[in-house]
Order: sequence, then C-alpha cells, then structure tokens
Amino acid sequence: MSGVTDREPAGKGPDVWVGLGLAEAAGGARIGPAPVADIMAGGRRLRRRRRTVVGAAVLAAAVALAGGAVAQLRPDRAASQVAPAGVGTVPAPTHSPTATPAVRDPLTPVRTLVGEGTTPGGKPWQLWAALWPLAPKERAFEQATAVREELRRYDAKVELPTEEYVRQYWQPDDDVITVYLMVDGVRLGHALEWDLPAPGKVPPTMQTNVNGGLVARSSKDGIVPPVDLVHFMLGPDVGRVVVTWEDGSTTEPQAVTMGDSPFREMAVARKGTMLAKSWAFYDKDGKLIPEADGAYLN
Amino acid sequence: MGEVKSGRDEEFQAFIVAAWPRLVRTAYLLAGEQYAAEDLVQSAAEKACAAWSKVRRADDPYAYVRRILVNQHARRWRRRAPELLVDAVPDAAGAEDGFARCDQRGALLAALATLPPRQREAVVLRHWEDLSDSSTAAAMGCSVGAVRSHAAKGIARLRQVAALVEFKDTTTIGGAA
Repeated sequence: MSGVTDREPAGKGPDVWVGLGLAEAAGGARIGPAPVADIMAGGRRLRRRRRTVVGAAVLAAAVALAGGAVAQLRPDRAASQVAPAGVGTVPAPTHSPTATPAVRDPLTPVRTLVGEGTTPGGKPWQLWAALWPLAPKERAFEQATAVREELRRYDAKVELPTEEYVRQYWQPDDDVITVYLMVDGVRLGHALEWDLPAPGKVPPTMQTNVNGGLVARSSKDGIVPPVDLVHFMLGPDVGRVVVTWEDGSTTEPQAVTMGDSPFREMAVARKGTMLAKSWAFYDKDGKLIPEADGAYLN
Repeated sequence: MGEVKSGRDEEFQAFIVAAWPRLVRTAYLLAGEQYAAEDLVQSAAEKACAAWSKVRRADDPYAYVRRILVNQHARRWRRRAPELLVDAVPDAAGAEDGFARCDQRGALLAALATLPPRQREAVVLRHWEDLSDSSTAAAMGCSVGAVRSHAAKGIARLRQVAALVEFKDTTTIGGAA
C-alpha cells in the first residue's frame, strides 16, 4: 500500500491517539441491518433515470414547440394496425426504415415499434424503443448528450449530462435504450432510459432476466398516462409469457426483437378494466422462471 | 415495480450487506451523527447499485464505494456549516471510565465537526480507515500532497482542542486514559 514517497498507514507514530479515538468514536455508531430493498430500489431508479414530467398542458406546449422534431420521429401511422380498445397488440418487428443503420453507430438509434393499441378514450397509442448501440468510452459523452438532447425535446426537465456524470456512470458493456409512448401521433415526454448488455456482453445471470415497468406514469409527480401499459425487456433465454386476468382468461403477449440487441421488448396493456391476477415467465425450454414473478397491472 | 432479481442483484446485495457496518462507521465519523451517516451510506450504496457492473470489476469494490461515499460527503458538506447533532447532552464526566470514554468520544466527534470537510475526510481516511497517503488521495480524488496538507492541518487543529488533552496520551482502546 505504501510506496517510496508514500507515507505508511497511520497505525503507528505520535498521532496513534487519533486512530484510537476515532475507533472509539466510530463505536458509537448504531449498526442496523442494511436497507437492501430501499437501496436496490434507489439503484434501479438511478439506472432507469426515469423521465416523468409534463402534464397535458405542458405536453401540448412542448409538442407545439417541437413539431418539426416530432414529425421526423413520428412513425408511419398508415402502416400501423390499431387494436381493439384497451388491448395492446404486438406488431411484427418493425424498424423505422430511415433509422436502421447498417453498422452499430452509437449516435444512430435503431427504432422499434414494440406494441400498439387504442386507449380507453379511443386514441391510438404506440410504444417505441430506441436502441443506441454501445459507445466506446471516448464517445460516451457524445452519445449521452445525443440521447438526452432527444429526450429533452419532449421533456424540458431532462438535464444534459456532464462529462463527470458520464465518466462515473458509463457502462462499458451496455447499449442505451430509451422507450417512449406516442398517443394519437404525439410523443409523450415521460420516456424511460435503460442500460442493457450489448450483443456478446450478456452475463449468464441475465439470460433469463425480466425487467418491467409501467410506462409514462409517475406516482411521485401525479402523472397518469392515457393507457395502462407495462413495458418489458426480456433476456435472451426468456420464452413464453402468460398473463392471467381476474376473470380467469389468459393472454400470451409476444416480444419483438430490437435491432441486434440480445434483449427483446414487449408491451402489455391492461385488458379492458381488468386487473392482472398473475404473471408467468417461462424460459425457452418451457420451464417456469421462478424468480420472475412480476406484479403488474394488479 | 416488481422487478426480478438477477444474479447481479444478488451479488450486489451480498456485497452491501457485508460492507454496510464499515461504511456506516466511516460515514458516522465524516457526518458526525447517525442519521446523516446512514443517509450518506444509503445514497452511496444506491449509486454503487446503479453502477454495479462497473463497481464489481474494480480491483477493490469496497474502495470504489468508499470513494463514492467520500465524494457524496464532500458535495453535501461543501455549502453547510459544520454541525454535530447529539441524542442527548452528556452529563459531566464522572470518575468511571465509561463516562470519561463517552466524553472523549463526544469530544472527538465535536472536534471533527469543526474541521473543514476535506480535513475531516483526510483525518478519517488516514487514521480510521488506516489508508496510506496515496490510497487516501485516490479516495478523495486529490493529490498525495493535498492529502498530507489536509491531514496535517486537521491533526494540528485536533491537538489544540482542550477536551482532547488527556486523550492524546491514549495508546490503547479499552478505557479512559
């Protein structure tokens, strides 16, 4: 630990009383159990860096200001099939034809239509995922800025990253995923931002990983989206997903591939006004994934 | 959100459960009181959780999290006057060692609270975590020279605290000097 010019640890010497005194003082700290659940929840919040804001009025203003940008990112609505009210459907894997790069470019996201349907109010919704391929360290700040600039066009509260922030949180093995909801052709401001292992970087422990969360909703900010919708990211070895509703009926939502990501995306909307009774996630061999016992839309 | 545990989660949980007591004690010395210490450690732990794939690859994950903790402390205390919250004001010291030790403990925490944050960090990391100058510099994100300067100034100020006069003769833990 000590080098030629490095001073030894302070365990000895004339100031040993400081160490002994600090040890005495540190003994006064009460050591309870680590609040693991709270820490994990906080960590996940940071990872998602969930962007929730904007009420309808603010949203309308933002859309008006960013009309040009919305038009560029708006998918071809004529090509979309609208599902019956309140029920989401999963389209065949769809990428925005102008946005699909031939090679992985950290500044060119691949956009995938994850699901679509109709809100209880009769407006069409679409859930989109943008895959920003893993950036090398020297381009991480550039990518983070591009990601945030896009989010910021729809959500004025999104802050642009600092170089220090990127240096601290850049994940050397992860793609960046942003997920956003469009209702009646208008992109909402509350987007999700995730990190997911890039191709060839998925650790064995994440092969059957299931991550899910409500879309465009924030209890903290009192934001309720026009459709109850859960977005999932499924590890490479996750197979069938079965939702059992309170009336006993079941649905098997389908996941879509997202560019060359090993993870697949899935959107599940509430069936009518029903609560979900249970969720079952199976691996590719049909075995139940016991730890994937999500509680969504219940 | 009903998220699913992954192996990465379990690995982090095992780490933080093991590191929690030591982190809380270090934070207690930096922050000067229990609740601020726990808040500091939880905040650092959340950041570590968020960046676990990076932290776990570090040579010493504990040192990595300790650096987050120290950075958090530096940020929080940058604009705050030093303060020391105590559960109760201790009675005057009695003849028994327990009282004397309690007084010394309180006196040292009070004295630490009067140090500027960087001096406090240098003293705690050097003399409680028992780090070398270079390791302390890594934890504080500054130069070895700055560590030596901060630590020397901090110790010099502690030496001047009258309530610590008797403590300075202490060479063992286990009773009042």
